[in-house]
Amino acid sequence: MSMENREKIAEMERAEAERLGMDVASYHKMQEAMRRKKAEEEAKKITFKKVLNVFFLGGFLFLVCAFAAMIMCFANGATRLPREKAKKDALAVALKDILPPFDNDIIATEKKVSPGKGRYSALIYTAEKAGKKIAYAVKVSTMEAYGGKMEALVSFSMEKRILSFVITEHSETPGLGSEVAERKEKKTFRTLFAEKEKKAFPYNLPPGAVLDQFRGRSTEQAPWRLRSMGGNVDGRSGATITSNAVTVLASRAALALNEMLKKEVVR
Amino acid sequence: MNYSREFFKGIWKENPVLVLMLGMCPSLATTGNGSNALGMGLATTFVLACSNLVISSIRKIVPGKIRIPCYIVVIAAFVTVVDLLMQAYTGSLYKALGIFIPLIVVNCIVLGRAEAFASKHGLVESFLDGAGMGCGFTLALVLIGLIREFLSAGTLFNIHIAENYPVTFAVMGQAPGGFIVMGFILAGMNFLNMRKAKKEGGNFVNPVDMDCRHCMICRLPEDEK
Repeated sequence: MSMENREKIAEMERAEAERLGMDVASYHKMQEAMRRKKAEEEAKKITFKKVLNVFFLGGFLFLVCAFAAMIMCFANGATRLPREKAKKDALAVALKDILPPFDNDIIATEKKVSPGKGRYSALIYTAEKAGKKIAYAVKVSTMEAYGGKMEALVSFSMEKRILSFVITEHSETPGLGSEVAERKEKKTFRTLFAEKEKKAFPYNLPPGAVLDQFRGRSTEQAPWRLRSMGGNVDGRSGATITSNAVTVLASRAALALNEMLKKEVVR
Repeated sequence: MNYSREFFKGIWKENPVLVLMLGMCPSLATTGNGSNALGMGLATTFVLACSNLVISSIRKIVPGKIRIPCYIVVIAAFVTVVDLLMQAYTGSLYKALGIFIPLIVVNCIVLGRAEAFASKHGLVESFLDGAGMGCGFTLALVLIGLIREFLSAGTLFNIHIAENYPVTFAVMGQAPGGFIVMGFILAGMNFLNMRKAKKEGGNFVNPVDMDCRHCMICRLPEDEK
């Protein structure tokens, strides 16, 4: 824009402002407001370009999601077998902990039992040594624990007495409910580096005050109840719901074993 | 380019928990004891460093207007894949860290660093930023966790330091204890910073880019222009 032109425009603006009866500054302000209003109207208009942009952005997001889903599908498929194997290995380790030494393929002996008119189900594993049955392990779960699901493994001797009891899966409050559900070695600095003495089965696992009460109880006495509910199991104060869930799991395991053995006798 | 600064700023000067105040939920919920805090910290560090790397590498392809949803999808997919891989191949590690992995998706540190740093910087800096922020997060969590664990049970990392610990200060192991310990740590940190500023002859002010108004995530209206 040349100097002349600019002067001409300034002249025109001054004349226009005079015609409308206002000074140049407020005329400029008015012009600015009009321009802004126009831009706003422009933004409200739906044009082909804008629609195309929305489709482009949506399409891009779709592609990203589809790509992510593809990767997840692939990862899920590729790790399915190893994950199942890892789960089975964990189960095998837990079974070794709660049963006396056995030599059969225990996971193959899995048997499903649904006592209590099918209200819940349990998986029963039979341990054998040299072709002779030596113990049973029962896997049960409940949704009634404080943190939702709780899963346990309970082992029984051939006399149908509880040998060992571990919680394999839980989500109880750390430091409160988890103290009931987990077996924990009490470590201090003095014992930290001392060599651990290995105890013979069934005392091989660290102590758990609530869990250990069940050792030696016969399935004939099941179902058990907490002392606060008129039974003979001591819970932990402050963690009644967790203690109750543990009691329920032991009872369910015992009832499931009774059910299976009853069926076997009939057969 | 000062690579070591990108790493070390996350540990004290821009500590994600104690200065940036990000990720409050996991830092209060998983610090009941030292080992949980350590587990959460390590898992987050891994995801943070790797997601920063991924986001930095795609930063030029993603259109600005939809970058945040894209980042969330990338982070969530990444965490899911890590979760599956850990389940399949590292059984004992998964047992220790597994419950923290799903929590990381909703951890705002990961998204915060993606938006504020990785979307504007190169691969190496972004990776170092993620690793440094993760280390700072881990240190802060372990500090809070150990204090809470000692006060509530007399143990450190499940080792009884005070044998026959006489009091049961159970509240320290629960959510309120987290807030209380956090408050004391923040006060202590402010005290140290203020003392340092006084020695240098001035008042302590938070760095300008730490100010809320300068938060990168809140500057969305600017994108419209």
